[in-house]
Amino acid sequence: MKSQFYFIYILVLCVFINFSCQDFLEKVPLDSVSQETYWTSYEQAEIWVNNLYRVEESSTKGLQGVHITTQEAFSDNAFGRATARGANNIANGLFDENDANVRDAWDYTNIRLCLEFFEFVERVPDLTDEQFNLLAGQVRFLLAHEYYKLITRFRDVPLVTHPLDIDESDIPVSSKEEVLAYILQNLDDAISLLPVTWPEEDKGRASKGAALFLKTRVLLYNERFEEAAATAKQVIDLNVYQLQPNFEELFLPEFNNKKDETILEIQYIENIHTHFLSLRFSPVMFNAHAVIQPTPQLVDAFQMKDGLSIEESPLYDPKHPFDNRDPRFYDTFLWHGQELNETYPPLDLTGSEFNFSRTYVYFKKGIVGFRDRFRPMHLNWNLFRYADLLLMYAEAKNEASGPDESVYEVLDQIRERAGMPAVDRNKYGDQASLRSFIRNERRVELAGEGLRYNDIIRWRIAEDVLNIELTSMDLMEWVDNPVDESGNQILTVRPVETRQFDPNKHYVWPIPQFAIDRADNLTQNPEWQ
Amino acid sequence: MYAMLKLDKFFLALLMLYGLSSATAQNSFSVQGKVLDQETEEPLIGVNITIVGASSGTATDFDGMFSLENLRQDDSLLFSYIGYESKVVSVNAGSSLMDVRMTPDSRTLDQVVVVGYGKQRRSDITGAISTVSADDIEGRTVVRVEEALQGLVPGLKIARQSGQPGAQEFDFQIRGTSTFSNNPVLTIIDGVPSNLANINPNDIESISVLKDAASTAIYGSRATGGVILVTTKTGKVGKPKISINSSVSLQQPTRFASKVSAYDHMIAQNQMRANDGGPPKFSDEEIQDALLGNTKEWDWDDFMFKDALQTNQNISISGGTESMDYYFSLGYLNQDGIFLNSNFERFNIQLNQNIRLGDKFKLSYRAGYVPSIRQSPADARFSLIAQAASIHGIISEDGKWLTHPERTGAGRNPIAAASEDGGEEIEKRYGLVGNASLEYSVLPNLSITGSYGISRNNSRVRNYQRILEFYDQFNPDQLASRTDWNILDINNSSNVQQNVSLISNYNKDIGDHTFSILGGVTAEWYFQENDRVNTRDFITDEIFVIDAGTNDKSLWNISGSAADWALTSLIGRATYSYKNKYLLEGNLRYDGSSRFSEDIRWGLFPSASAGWIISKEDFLVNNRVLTFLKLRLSWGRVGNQNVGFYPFANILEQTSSYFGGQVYRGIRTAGASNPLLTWETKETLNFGLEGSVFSNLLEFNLELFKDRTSDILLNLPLPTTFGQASPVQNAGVVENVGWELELRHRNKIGSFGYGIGVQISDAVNEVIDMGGVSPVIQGNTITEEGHSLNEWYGLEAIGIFQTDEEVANHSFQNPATSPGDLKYAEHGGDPTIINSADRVRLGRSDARFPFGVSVNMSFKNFDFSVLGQGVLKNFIYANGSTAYNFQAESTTIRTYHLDSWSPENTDARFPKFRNGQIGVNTQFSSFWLEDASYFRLKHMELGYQFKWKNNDSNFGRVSLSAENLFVLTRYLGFDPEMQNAASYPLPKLYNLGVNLNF
Repeated sequence: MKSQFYFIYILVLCVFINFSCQDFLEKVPLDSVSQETYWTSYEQAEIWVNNLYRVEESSTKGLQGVHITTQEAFSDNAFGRATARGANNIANGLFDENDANVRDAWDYTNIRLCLEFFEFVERVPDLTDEQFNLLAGQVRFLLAHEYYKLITRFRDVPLVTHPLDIDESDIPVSSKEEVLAYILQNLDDAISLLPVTWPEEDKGRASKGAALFLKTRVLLYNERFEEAAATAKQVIDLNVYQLQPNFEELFLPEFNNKKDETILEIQYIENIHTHFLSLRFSPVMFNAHAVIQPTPQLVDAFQMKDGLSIEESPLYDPKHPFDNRDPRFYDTFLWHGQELNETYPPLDLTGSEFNFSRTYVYFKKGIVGFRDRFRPMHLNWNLFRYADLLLMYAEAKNEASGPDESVYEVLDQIRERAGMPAVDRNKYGDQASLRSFIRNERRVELAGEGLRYNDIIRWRIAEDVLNIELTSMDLMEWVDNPVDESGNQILTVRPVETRQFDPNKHYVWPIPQFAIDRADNLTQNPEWQ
Repeated sequence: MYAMLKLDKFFLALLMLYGLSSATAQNSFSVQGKVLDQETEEPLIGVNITIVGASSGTATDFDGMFSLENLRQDDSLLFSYIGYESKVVSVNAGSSLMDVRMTPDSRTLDQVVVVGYGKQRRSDITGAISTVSADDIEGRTVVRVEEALQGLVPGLKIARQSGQPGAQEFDFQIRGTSTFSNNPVLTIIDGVPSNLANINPNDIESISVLKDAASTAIYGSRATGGVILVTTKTGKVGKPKISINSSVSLQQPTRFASKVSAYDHMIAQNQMRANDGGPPKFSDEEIQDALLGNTKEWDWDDFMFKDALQTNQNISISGGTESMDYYFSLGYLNQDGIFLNSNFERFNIQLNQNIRLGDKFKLSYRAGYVPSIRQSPADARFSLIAQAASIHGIISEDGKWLTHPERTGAGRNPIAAASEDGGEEIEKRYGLVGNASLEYSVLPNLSITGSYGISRNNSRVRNYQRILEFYDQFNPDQLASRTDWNILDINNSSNVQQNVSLISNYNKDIGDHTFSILGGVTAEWYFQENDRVNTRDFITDEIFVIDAGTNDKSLWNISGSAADWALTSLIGRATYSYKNKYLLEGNLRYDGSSRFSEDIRWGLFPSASAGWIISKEDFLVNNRVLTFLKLRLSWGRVGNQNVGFYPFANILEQTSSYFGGQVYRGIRTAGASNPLLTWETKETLNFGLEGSVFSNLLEFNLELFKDRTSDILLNLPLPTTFGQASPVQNAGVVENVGWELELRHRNKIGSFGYGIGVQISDAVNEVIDMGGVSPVIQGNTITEEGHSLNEWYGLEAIGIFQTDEEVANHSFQNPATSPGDLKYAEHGGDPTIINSADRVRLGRSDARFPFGVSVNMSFKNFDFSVLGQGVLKNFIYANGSTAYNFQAESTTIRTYHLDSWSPENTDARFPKFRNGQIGVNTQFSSFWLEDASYFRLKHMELGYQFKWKNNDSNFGRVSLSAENLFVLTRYLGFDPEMQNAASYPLPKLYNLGVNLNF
């Protein structure tokens, strides 16, 4: 009997030891690599850097891509029809520290991934200086871009300069000047490390020009006009960029990566990596959502083709408000009776579309290539384009030292390409009048491209342009205003919404509440306390 | 005691009311007799015998004999005995010597119950275990065993989330919610962890539901959600028995609130437009047309649903000899869907065999193989069908799919998309569950069993979407739009779980002392993988292979994944009982899991429990009222290893980036790892009281429990500047307290037998600790320390504004707010504005008091049974087109929405018509929390038993039954059981069943 007990005991022991010895419980992930075994070659380091360029549909992360267009509805350029993200809350002043836009804008994940690059890249054996410089230059640029986005919205933000451990990650904000210095230092590194051009297959990577462009923008946004003008001049002097002869081509997918005007194009590929700009801009009758619609104020900002504003020009006729406008008008807007492209019938606001059309006008810019809701678009997004740079040069130079011929000359380049008369040197002969000209030209040239909100904030004119009762366009005198059975015009003036802007508060965004809740050292911006 | 005796009398008096006995004063006489077991003919000792209507009685002696005097003509005697069905026999002066045969009760307290890694007698159990036997399931024309369990087991809450054939989904939970993370019920078929979809309900012998930690501790780190053990049938010694079960069922949709007519739709939409400040949508002429019936209308519900047939055929052969027994069954189910384009076919093969090899060895195996095929729409969108108005076109007379101009995207024609013209999804599934074991009887009371088990699931889902063309319903010759691609998507997935174990059992009786010891080792390992391909642009719609699709590789999509885990364990159990009266039990499991880092992967899960059968004490042993009484107390600790597969590893994930029009590879950290992560631990204290009174006429079982789950996985929020998703940490603590009550009454009066069972339970959880993140507001719920998990959180609606003045005097809500809109209570923050600061707790979001009621009766050859089930308290968030009086511009409403506010109808159920997308009334508030408590008549059955050839083994039964016959609820949406308002509804079934035995 005793021997039988031993038998059991040994059997038990056998099975048990068997499993322990064979590392039965040692399991490693079967379908992914881990950080510990990565970083063994230049190619792997490059793959890490590639990811930092990643843009997502509906995300403000990273370089953003077409998602930046939703920011148009933050400004006086557009109205955001009911959307889940509540883009409109910014323009009508209803946003707070819990707003989705505010939360999304506060993001340190890419900053960490950039900083981890510098920590881990040292592990890569046999990395040449040349290889390192190519990668490091891109990461410096991308890191600077992240902080540029943060200080533009939140002013003072925590400055993280190495990957933080959990217990050292609760840090207070640094002043905007400190962060700005860090941005400029990274950009200067990037400028020195990056090539002027990339080979064809690398189009979309940050170049020296892109770093200079970002530096120009950051300096301009922070009113360091002289430096901004000098940096912009450096881009001009690179002599690799020039305006696309035809304005329309900037927004056609056929010209992806084929434009001398773009300094940085966010890349999309047909069927593989696409976006839904069409859904945002296009009318509902084309199976889209018409989420972002231009305001009458933006429409009115477009001059007549004689170079005069609609108030000044004899060409303007309320009976024919859409005639004889700046040629860019016809590449920017779509209205009742107009065709988007040959796929769709002319826009008809008399049917069910009436309900979705709040301002009676739609953005056409960027969606001319739109064919079907189920074939999303692959138009590259022109994140940095030369026209923007020239306008920044003009603005910076004018602000730094007043009008000079170099300012008129760059503005004329833009006017000429648009098919508009050259700048009237007499009419816009002083700094103030030229300033308003440049500001309007900027609004018109870049309409729908998501930059207007930054401009009205830094010019501190948001309190003037956002405190309004927004209505639809007034088309009561338009001869083509459709009529109903009793002969009444259908497109009457309709209220859209009341917009509010509190100058004591809204020039800076609140730090999102969830960020404050998670840190002891973070306090709300004083305007929002 | 006195009160009980009175009760006793009261009850016996009740029995008299059944008209069996009307005692009239006559000459008294006496009887003598013997009580025998119906099956074994053995005398039964200590049977209680009482005279119905009197307090006197007696008990049988050691030979099963009894005698009674002073009886009157037509007196009735009640015979009752533990483990046997009670019996009433009337006596008369002529029958002075009588033999009474009692039938063993299938529900007796001494039935054998399957427990973790073994079996125990019901009376020896000291934990909280509910059992369901084949009797409870047979006759139910259910496809899945979960359906059959619904309403039967106290503390087991089952909600059916979809009625789609072959893809039914059940939410099931034992004893409520006790953690923030996921702790599914561990389901085990014949000792092998497996999905319950892999079993034919017809093959089930018994189901044990292990509820407290004392019962589940032997499953260690996988047991916090409770355990369900399913055991299949085995053969019994005897000649081959053939049993045929066959049923045909008609399925119909359960219930469906109808949509409004075209006329009502137009009036209401114009009202909506007016309320929102817009122009009318429909002209007076259109409305007039609709009123006169000249508007073409389509009945979307009618297109969506059809009556469908279900047939279920089962045949089994079982039997055995002294050295071998067997059970073999074949099953075939064909379930047509009540929704268009859906069908499910399932085959079952089960073969169980025990073979005795000499005196010392027994070889056993049990294997079930379940291939099935599911067909369903390639693109089924119930919510879009549910919101379409009757004026929206479906199909033209010549068979063209129509679309209304205001319907866009996937809403253009969801019926077309769901129909066969839109394509189909075919899932082929193969499930295998089996085990093989060899038992070695070392000594008469010592055995060792080695076994191997496997559960394997393979599934191949092929989804093919055809190109659809939609024609303008007002101009059916005009192609309005089309879908762009035909798309083929193939998804192959498989998983396999295997285990080996070596377990020894030792039993010993020493006088009044009974011991048993179980000890063993087990190892278990699991692997899953998945490959998916997707391509488009097929030349024809007849070939469903990847090669027939486009050559353009940019249109291909491929993906794949794999994962595994392993577990090794030591298990042990010891039981001790003294005089079968005092019971002690201890369980232990020592688990090592691959999911945790090496140093912290081992965990110990002990339990201890005790039982006291009070009715065996001297002071109760002859009590005629309290036949049985048992007290149980248990404590145990179990774990939850459901923390992801490799939480310790710092995983990188691939991304894509794009340069120069080409795809480049990217990589990034997938999320923060936590090498210190370990299991959640749950400790449970359970108190049980079970018993029966009046000789098993009334059985009761009460369970009280309190559990505390700690180290719950939580994403502790880190400073945002950390720049990475926060790692999961062991931080939370939740307590859960609850009770379960079960009552059964059974009796037989002459040839009329009946039984009534009621069960109800509840559990209340409280968050004790959230590691500093309290409260977490997620969507419309809040979880906060000191409160229940996921309570509803939102604005409190306090009626409907009636006047402009009322709007003006109330806090500002929305620029559009006007009379007829919902009024929200001011609760905090800026007292002049209703905003998120005014949100308050609006009650618990989980269903309370799940209950079940069953009644069965038999009279001669007829039997009748009813099962009802429901929850007594449940508030669910009604939203979408079935809730809002216009979810959007292009949706319609249901007839109950006609009771909406207007200046003429100020006391309305709903606020005024509005486009829900404007959000004035449709934002989450208490108004949309709808009472979804319900009672559902789950099952009703009438059967007739018959025999032929005068042979006991040749018998049969025919039955008429119904499933899901009706539901009583105040909930307006589709189904109170489904959280999602628009998903595949439950069918109602009418069945004809035949059972033949040879």
